[in-house]
Amino acid sequence: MVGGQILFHGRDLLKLSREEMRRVRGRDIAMIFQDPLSALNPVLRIGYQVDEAMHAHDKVPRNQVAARSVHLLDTVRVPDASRRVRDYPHQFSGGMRQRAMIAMGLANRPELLIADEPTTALDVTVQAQILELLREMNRETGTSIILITHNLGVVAGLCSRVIVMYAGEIVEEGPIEQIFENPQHPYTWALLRSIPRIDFARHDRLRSIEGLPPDLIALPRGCKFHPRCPFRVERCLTDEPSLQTVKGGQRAACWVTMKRAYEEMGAADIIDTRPGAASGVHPPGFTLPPFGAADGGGPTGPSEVAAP
Amino acid sequence: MLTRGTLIYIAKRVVLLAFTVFLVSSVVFFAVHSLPGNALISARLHGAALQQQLHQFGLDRPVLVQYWSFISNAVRGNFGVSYVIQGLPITPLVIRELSVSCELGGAALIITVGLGVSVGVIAAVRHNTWVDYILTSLAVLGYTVPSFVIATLFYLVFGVWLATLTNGGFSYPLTWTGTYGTLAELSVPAFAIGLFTSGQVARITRAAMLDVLQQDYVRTARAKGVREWAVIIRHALRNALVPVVSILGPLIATIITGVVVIENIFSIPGLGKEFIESILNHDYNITVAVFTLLAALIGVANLGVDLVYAAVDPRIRY
Amino acid sequence: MSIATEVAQEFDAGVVAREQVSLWRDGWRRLRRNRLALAATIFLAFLALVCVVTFFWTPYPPSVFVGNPYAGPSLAHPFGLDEYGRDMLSRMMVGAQISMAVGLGCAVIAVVVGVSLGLLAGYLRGWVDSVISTAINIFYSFPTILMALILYIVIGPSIINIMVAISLTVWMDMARLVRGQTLSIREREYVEAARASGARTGRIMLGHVLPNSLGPIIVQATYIIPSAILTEAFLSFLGVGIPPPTPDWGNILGTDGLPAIRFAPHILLPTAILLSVTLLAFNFLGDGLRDAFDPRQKR
Repeated sequence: MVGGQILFHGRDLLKLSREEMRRVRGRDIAMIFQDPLSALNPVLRIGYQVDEAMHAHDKVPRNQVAARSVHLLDTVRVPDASRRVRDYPHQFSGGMRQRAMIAMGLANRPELLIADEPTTALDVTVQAQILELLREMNRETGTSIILITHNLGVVAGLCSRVIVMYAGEIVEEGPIEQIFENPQHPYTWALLRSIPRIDFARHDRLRSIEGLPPDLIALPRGCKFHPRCPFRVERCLTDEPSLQTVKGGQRAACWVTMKRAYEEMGAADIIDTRPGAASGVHPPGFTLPPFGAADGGGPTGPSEVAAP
Repeated sequence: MLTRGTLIYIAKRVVLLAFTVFLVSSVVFFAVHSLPGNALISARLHGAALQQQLHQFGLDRPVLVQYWSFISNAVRGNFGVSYVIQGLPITPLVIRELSVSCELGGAALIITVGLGVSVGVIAAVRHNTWVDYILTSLAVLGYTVPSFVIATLFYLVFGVWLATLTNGGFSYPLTWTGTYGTLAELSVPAFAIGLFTSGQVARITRAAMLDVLQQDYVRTARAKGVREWAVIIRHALRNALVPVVSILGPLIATIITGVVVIENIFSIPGLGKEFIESILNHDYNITVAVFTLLAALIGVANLGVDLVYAAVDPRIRY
Repeated sequence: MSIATEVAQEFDAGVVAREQVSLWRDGWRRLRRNRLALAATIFLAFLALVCVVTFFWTPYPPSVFVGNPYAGPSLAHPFGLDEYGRDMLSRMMVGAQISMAVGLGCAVIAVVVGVSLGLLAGYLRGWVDSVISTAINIFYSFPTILMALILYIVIGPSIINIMVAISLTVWMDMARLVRGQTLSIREREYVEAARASGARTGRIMLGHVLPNSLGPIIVQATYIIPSAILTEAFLSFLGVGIPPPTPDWGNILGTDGLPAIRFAPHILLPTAILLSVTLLAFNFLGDGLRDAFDPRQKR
């Protein structure tokens, strides 16, 4: 087991009792979930579920709760909010349900809102509306937002600071511009490179990251990303890198970093991104077949050899 | 709540109910009239005297004529007279007995739902602990040991052994004294019926609660900081009640079966006792009347269940 | 046990089962692993043995005066005597025979009726399905036991008639189950293939649909037995079942035991317990079989 602390205003949340933690949840830290279809209780009215967030804590005076619910739903642009508080979730569309979730999250004016893939279950136009709403709420109420997502476009549009995680660990963090313009960890680099770009006219294949996500029960030794990393060096196979500052406010956990990869391995115009392809470093007993030979989908790395 | 659609639905159901009751009582009417004997045979009448009696009750007419007179009287609420206690009008008798049976069945229903749901919720919340194991085992015992065995055991324990143990100092009243009994007299038979059915309710509630507690909306409620008891009662139980209500229909049929047997054990003057007595006495006018009322009672109870169903689950609209 | 070894064992079991008569051997293996179901099976086997023995021998003739009325348990009469001085052990043995006969008989009738109606409803669908489904729902919401009682009185008391009457109350579950199974199996590829190769409806139902729902049918039949035994005991308890002097668990409880409960509880108690344990055993066996046949619940 890994230890640690979750600090919120200097208090370690892991040390709180159940009741203390309950008082934090929904009051200081609120959360909205991935799937608004299943995250709302089907047998309770929308208004009741928003009210309840306030009734659970004494931040909003009791006699103002109902009015504030309507106001909140109005703010998140649920049309005709004063009537629709009496609706049940099944009478709401997917986007409206997520709006109701956000209203619920903001009910107690929390300091922090954790949004876990808030747009994944929604279609693209609704996604944009929800993100716009989150941005607006952040500006108007000053609520900080932690956005958990795999969608880099969403990150670029909404966030100021980015933390990139791989196999449950932070591999890179920093201000948004720096991360997008100058990624230092090969995983971040590969992620950004895999976004299909409309301004690239070339009829390229979609660039993916070679190999499969690691088996979290049997993680690889050394750097967790080395079985899929084209720039790996000997050290990556055995030692785990820690987060090091690379540039003002930007940190990465990598023995190589992209700076070196660009300078020494020609990462700028690399085509073969199979593991170890750029550095020529492989685990003992493993040889990379010549590039192109494996293009038909044959095994390209140790992680795929191990996979059934 | 009561929208126009709901009212139309209720009206449709009432018509269907009336039709079902009519059908059931017709079937029973012809069934009992195809029997060779009737009360007058056991009265050992012969020859002219028998003929005269048969004529008096209209039993010498063709069966279709009898049926027509039965139906035309029944729709006016008149079920005729008893053969055994000669000339006793049946309608007031069975209406009174119906109220007694409703009292007993209602008490059993309250125990069924109250006890079953509580046990199910507790077992689910304390999932995989000894509390769960004990409650689940008790529920299994509850729904496998038949109500008349539970009733006779209650009779033995409360009526016989308790009095023997305390040397007659404390004895539990087991025979029903007044028409409607006292609360103490009601409780033992009601429990005897309710234990059997509450076992089934507990089993369904536990399974439903375990399922619901895994749902995302329960996580949402916790994330809002809702107190745990409120999460369990308002969020989880409200949803878990949906499958529970859906088995209430068959359960009410089981409870009414239980009422029939328990009334006979504890000598409770209700429809169930009358039902068996009228069959054993060949007093078939009463049999038909009792069965008609039972069919109506069950129909009304099922309609009630469906309305409760819509109240518990807002996704259901009629 | 670690996850790895468990997975390995499961894998082995799968291989062994596939080599041999797959479903049945695998099912039996898992049934044996369930101790409650095993205990229930042993108890029911013992009860079956008693029923067979009863055909040839009972300690005393079951319906004849053999000692003092209401006499308590003694060496000569381990369960005492009833109000007519009849030996309780002998009566319980004959009662077991009747209960088992009624239970099995009703299960057979329910299987035949329920499976046929379920197959028809599920395979033909359309109006056949609506008629059968409506009938199932009507029967569900009605105290069918009372209906059975009327029917039984009309057709007259006999053990065959009581089976027919009780079957009226237990066929619905089976029909509903088979209907559901049929609805899902008829969409499978192998049924499509059979239909494409010109097999007749009857042949598809008996050759493909039925064998593939055999497991659930057997489980359901196991649950029908206790509910039929219960209904029969219920009718006899009320004095409208098997007519005395033939002994039967229901009339031992209701006719002989209940009136004497204040001074001779030995007439009633052993039979009450025996009836409850038998019902419990069939339910446990059913649960065990259900787990054994349910491929999703690998344990």
